[in-house]
Amino acid sequence: MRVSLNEIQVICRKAFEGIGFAAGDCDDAAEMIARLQVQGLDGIGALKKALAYLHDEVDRPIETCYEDAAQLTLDAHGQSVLRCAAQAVELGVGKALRGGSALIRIRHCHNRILLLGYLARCAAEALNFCVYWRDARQELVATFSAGQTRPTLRVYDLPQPAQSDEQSINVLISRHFTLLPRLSAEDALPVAHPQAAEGLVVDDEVWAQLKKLGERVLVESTEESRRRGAGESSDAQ
Amino acid sequence: MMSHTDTDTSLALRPAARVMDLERLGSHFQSRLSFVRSSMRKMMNEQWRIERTRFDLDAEGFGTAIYRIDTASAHYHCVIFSMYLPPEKRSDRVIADQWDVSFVLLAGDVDEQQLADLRRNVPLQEAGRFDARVLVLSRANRSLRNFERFLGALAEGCQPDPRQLAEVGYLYRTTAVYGNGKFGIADFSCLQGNADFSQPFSAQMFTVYLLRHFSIEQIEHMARARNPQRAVGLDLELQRYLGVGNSTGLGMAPFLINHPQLVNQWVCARETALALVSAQPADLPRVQRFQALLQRARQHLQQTRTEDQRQSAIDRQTLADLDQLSPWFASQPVSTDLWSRLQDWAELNTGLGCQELLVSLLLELYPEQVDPLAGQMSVSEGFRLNAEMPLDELCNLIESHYRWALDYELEGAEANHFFWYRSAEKEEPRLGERAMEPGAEKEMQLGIARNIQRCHRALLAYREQHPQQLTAHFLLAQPSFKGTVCRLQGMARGAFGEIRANLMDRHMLPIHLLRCKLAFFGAGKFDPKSSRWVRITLFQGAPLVSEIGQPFADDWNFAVMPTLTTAAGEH
Repeated sequence: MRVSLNEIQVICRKAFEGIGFAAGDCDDAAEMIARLQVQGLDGIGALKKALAYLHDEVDRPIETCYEDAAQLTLDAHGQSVLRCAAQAVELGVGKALRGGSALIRIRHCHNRILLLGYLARCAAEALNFCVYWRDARQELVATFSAGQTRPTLRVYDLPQPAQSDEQSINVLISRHFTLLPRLSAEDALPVAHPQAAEGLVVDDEVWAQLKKLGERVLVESTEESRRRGAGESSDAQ
Repeated sequence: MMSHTDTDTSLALRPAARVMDLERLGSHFQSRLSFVRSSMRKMMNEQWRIERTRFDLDAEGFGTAIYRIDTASAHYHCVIFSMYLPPEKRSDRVIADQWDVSFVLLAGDVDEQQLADLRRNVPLQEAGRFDARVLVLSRANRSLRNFERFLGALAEGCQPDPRQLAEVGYLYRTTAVYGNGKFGIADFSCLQGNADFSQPFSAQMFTVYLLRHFSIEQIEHMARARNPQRAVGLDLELQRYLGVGNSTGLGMAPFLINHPQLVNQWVCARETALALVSAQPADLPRVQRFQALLQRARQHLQQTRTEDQRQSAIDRQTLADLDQLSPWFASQPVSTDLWSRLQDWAELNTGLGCQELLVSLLLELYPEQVDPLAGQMSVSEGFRLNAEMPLDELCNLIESHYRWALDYELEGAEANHFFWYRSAEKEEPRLGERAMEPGAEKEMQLGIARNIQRCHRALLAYREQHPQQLTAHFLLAQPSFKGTVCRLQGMARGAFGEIRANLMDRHMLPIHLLRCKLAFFGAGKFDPKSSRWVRITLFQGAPLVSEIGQPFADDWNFAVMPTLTTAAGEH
């Protein structure tokens, strides 16, 4: 179905509320999904895959494994990047602005593509981003040049199943240089750039699923709540 | 566009502690900065053309009407469906599923296929699906009493009694006016480059204005159909005095809590305007103009009817304050500091209603200072974490900018009396009593002060262990505070975004939140039906469609009942 950007933001926010995200986190996470959708990268589809994990996830600390002036390694202990994107990326941005470049690595996290939804916010900083992560069969490389709000994403099939990569994602941030993935025509993943004015296409099934999650925070009506809860009096004119 | 976080700090703005007090916010009146005023200015100054292109209504007023709107840069259509509404279906609540009229504002042209599509979907409102050509979706119900009286009078060749309009100032009452992407319609971002509707709610307000025009044309059509020989048109004075009603419940309240940057922008514009005006040296013409405005506002307030005892007492108090103020003002020398002395005097001698009414009146005196601010009511929303803020600084920020939140006593039963929730019935926002009603575990997160207090406690404990660390480290360790920290860092840049109230408190009145937002819309004639529900009137006194293109003084607020040249009821 075709939906508006606002509908994506609202349904995601309500779904995250239903899942039990902390108050202000719902907006942040919903924004990441919506931006990914606008980037043509099917944020809703990515969220579909994430839902199974998010259900069982309990908000817990992100461990800092290593940190210096230009590097940060975190361990999310199996949580979604939705939980720590802002803290990790913004800390990295600060390091890159000061020192010229920074490398952020988040270990043991899932829904990694959703991080691209956050990076779009940082485009105005005049920073270049290169993000890479791999699963068993593929390596994915996304780049944002300074000032861009849409990434270039390339997917490389791995010749043989990769060794464990700790389910990590790596973000290289630089003020002065741009990392470009190896260019070849067959590597390029065509990314559609939907226009907000035409609406954004989302999967019906996952849409219904998100709606259901959002309904978890709705309170069943009682006669009393119907009568008094909204406060309308009975004097119809 | 300038954000009000960056406004001129040399202006003496009223302190946020005073301005953001909930009761004061709930005492606002419409002003030059209200959206109906700025929409009307734009329409008149740019001479928009509004033309009826279809009017297929039967004798009962049921059918389809279409208006084409041409602005300097684009054209639009307003499509209105008027249908029979069974009495048992008549309700202003969100939970209603049928209305007297339903309508849309569309960008560009409308063809027959789209019209058929709209005919299927628009009457369904929330249950319909739309595309981004639709900018605004709305519905309205008739004021049965006025409708029948007006129709009866006009059909008999008489004018209706103006007192009826003073009492209830409209023929139609909107019960929701949707914009910004709801049900598939255009996102607000689609309008950002649009020269006609770039300000918040401007497309919605314009659509409401078109409903007012339709209501006049419809009732005249029905009168003619009922009695072709005798029917007359509605007197022009009465047409101007006719507005559009709106019936609003709790849904508006969470909006103000969830959009603090927008609230900051609006309130800061109003406070900046007041500071600019207060700094102007008074002169005789403006003193006389102020006295005339004072007189009109008093008359308007005298003609405002409400059965709500609380509102009625406030209106009476404001009128008594105005009676006291007039002789004081008349005795004052026309000095350079007259406007600020006036406010100081009001602060000491009058209630909040009178004080905030004065703000609206003062803003009328210097349009050249005030009107440009109406173009700055929009803001790009969203918070960005300042990850590298040292923990000491974050603590200081909370303790200085959110001292009010830390000072709340939030532990007792009184402070937690209410909970806000969304009902399973069309997600209608409702208020429950925690001790009596089920559902508190699903309450909406509107407790900003509570979040701040929890965050502050956790932060103090964390800082004790890690004094040298940064905000990001705190949030990596305790991710659940991320939203609160982003908000407080962002809001510390502006003074006026946070409404200072505990919305769960037993003594909190939601009506204040509703009135604050509605006053920014441009509402008048506040007529609460309870502390959670209010009826208001928009566009009462506004110029008519036929007057677009004629000289425009932009002096139509606080409309007063006209005196007709032909007495009401006479032929």
